Amino acid sequence: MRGRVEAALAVLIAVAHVAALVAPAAVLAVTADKGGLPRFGGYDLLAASVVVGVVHAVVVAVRLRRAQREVGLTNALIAGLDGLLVVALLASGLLFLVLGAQGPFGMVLLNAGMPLLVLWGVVQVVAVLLGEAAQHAVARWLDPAPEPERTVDRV
Amino acid sequence: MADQLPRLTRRQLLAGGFGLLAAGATGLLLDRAWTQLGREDLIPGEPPAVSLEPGAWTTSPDEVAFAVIGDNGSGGRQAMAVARQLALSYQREPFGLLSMLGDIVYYGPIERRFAEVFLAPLGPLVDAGVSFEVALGNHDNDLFLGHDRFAEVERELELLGTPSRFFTTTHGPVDLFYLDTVAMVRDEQEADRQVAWIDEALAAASSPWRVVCLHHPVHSSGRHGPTALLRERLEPVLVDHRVDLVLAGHDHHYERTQPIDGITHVVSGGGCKLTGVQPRDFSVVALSRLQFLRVHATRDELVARCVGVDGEVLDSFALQPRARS
Repeated sequence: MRGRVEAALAVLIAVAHVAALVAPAAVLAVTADKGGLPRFGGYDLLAASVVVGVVHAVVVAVRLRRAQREVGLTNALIAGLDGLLVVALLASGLLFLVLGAQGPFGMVLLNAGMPLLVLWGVVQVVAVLLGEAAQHAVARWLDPAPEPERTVDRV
Repeated sequence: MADQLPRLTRRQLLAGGFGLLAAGATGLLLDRAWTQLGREDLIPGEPPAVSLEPGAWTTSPDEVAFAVIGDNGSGGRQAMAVARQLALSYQREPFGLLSMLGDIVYYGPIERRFAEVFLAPLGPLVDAGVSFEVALGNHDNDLFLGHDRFAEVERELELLGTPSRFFTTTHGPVDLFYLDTVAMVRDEQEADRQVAWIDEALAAASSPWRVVCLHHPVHSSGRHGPTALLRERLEPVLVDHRVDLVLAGHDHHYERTQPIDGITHVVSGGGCKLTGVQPRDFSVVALSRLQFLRVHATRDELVARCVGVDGEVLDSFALQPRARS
């Protein structure tokens, strides 16, 4: 029973990662649809995000299951959720930084010949890597191997 | 009961508590970010690769065709799609004038972005020899106010058909009057100056049609809404001179009003970005769609069509010339 719950939680967090990565492209696709752009006009970015998101979700799910065994369910969940927040924030925030209203760096890169899908993918992979780094750092901080942690009662 | 709850370490409490706080803040930030993302046109787009026959239109004293676009200056994917449809529209029915309702540049100074927001998307029309007349918008960086850094862009705009901040032109049976509503809204003396100018210009007009082109709308049901100063100072003059049509942008949607004191008002601001619109009692049509306008005028009738980015006609209307003494 406990194993099933842990597996379900890992899948849930993995799905949330996919949603966080796909959300910006979904917003753009919906806007394009509403604005009347020909169908599939904004779907290339959505497809790219789904690919990055699904690959990342598999990694997240596997890693969470391993972390649950190595550092315990609570630590794995806290670290997983903190990592999710970083991915969610950066997947949208980096877009504004790169394509942002006040400094169209993205346009400069694209004018220099970088394909849009590559730029989009790079932004999402950077968000994923920073999310993974955050998750890893939190997990290590929560479970410093050498000395036992003092505990306090939950309030 | 408390004994059954998991005992959390201090670090777990800190990390979990921080996570909960951050989740709340992230939710708020994402809500704003996604709303903004839906309103902007940040994804770069490909300029239209459409070849047009230069000078293919016919203009006579009795007939003219022109197009109208507003708020199209992102250089983004949606702007390029609208520009492409505009070029295709020229291919089907050539026109010699594109009337622009302001905000020809977003996301940076015009002297740096002019090529990518103007010359790239509208390149096929520029190459075809189409004239461009601009009613300056609030994102257009104080053009024609005498700053040296805009000299090159202003020279280029002059060559394309825009001589100054406010001006009048005649195309076939239509007199067009352009105002700089940004300066009017900013400075009441400037507003008085331009109102006095258009009062005289309208009095001297002799064509069957009088069309006024603005950036800020007099009437609108969109996000920015109506412009109080224009309603107070400009509208009475337009009513007195029996203007037929007022075209404006600023709000990023398409809207046509029923005649208000005899004047039909159109907001055509769907050139690249979109915001919502809640129709008011004066609205005949109000749509949050990417679009531009095609106008065909003879001495007896002015027909306008709102064309969507997929080529669909979203609205059309016909006006008859108003009797003038």
